[in-house]
Amino acid sequence: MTADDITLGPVSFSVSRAQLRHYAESSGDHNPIHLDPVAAAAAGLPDVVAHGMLTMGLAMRAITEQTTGSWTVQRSHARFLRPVPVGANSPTVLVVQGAVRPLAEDPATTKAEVTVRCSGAPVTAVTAVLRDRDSD
Amino acid sequence: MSLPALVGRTYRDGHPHIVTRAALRDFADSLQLSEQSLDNPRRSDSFRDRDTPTPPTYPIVLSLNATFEALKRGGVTLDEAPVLHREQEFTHHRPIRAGDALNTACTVIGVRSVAGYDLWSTRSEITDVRADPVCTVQITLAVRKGRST
Repeated sequence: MTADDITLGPVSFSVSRAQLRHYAESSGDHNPIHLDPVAAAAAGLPDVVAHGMLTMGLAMRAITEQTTGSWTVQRSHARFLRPVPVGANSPTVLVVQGAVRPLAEDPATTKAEVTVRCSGAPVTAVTAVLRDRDSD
Repeated sequence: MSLPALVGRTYRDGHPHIVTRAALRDFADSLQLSEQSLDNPRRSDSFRDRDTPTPPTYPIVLSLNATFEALKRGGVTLDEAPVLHREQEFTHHRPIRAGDALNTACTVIGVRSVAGYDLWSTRSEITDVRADPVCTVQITLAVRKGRST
């Protein structure tokens, strides 16, 4: 963090089994580890797990919704660090937090770096580069 | 064919993927992008483009399927093996809009072994009907070793 960093978040999202089913349909990713507890257990997972891309999508939502002006996403990158178990009865809470910083070499371009956490542990690390359309 | 022989191979969709307004909206809905947040004037232009929101992760819909096809056609068994998403990158050349007809060419760019898993990386080039670049997508999947033969 530097003096120019603007804090982003924390923004919380809750993810339920129903949302995993919805995301599987909308994205076409029907990997059973996201839907079927038996398949998840066979894969060595504690429960069905959220799609990594669902966690990235929520992180990008947090970034784009907190960025003022007419920004366009140029690049985004995610590393999926840990699985996110989602139980049958209670939703899993994800917290997105990080910072946004204008690039020194190009003030019309901003870099966001956020971490998605679940029960305090980092699960997904996302960076995104956004450009101000009004500057073009 | 040995697995490394797959590297450098390209799989192309047989026919273009037509982006519908309903599909964009359903994808946005599944990320909990409510009407209210979509209409928020502070939101990014990537969500405001024309009247249909396009979440910046939408190109995964084309590129993940292309990655599975590229690997399966190369002989990697993915149906029973646990597949975990390890890393993901999008480079956007222009926004995706409802009505776009998009082609995907997915090239296997690498495989390496780590702790019981094969890590497969692909790069998908998504282009429009004029063959202009729309999005470049890099995906790394971890496939449990021993089952990817």
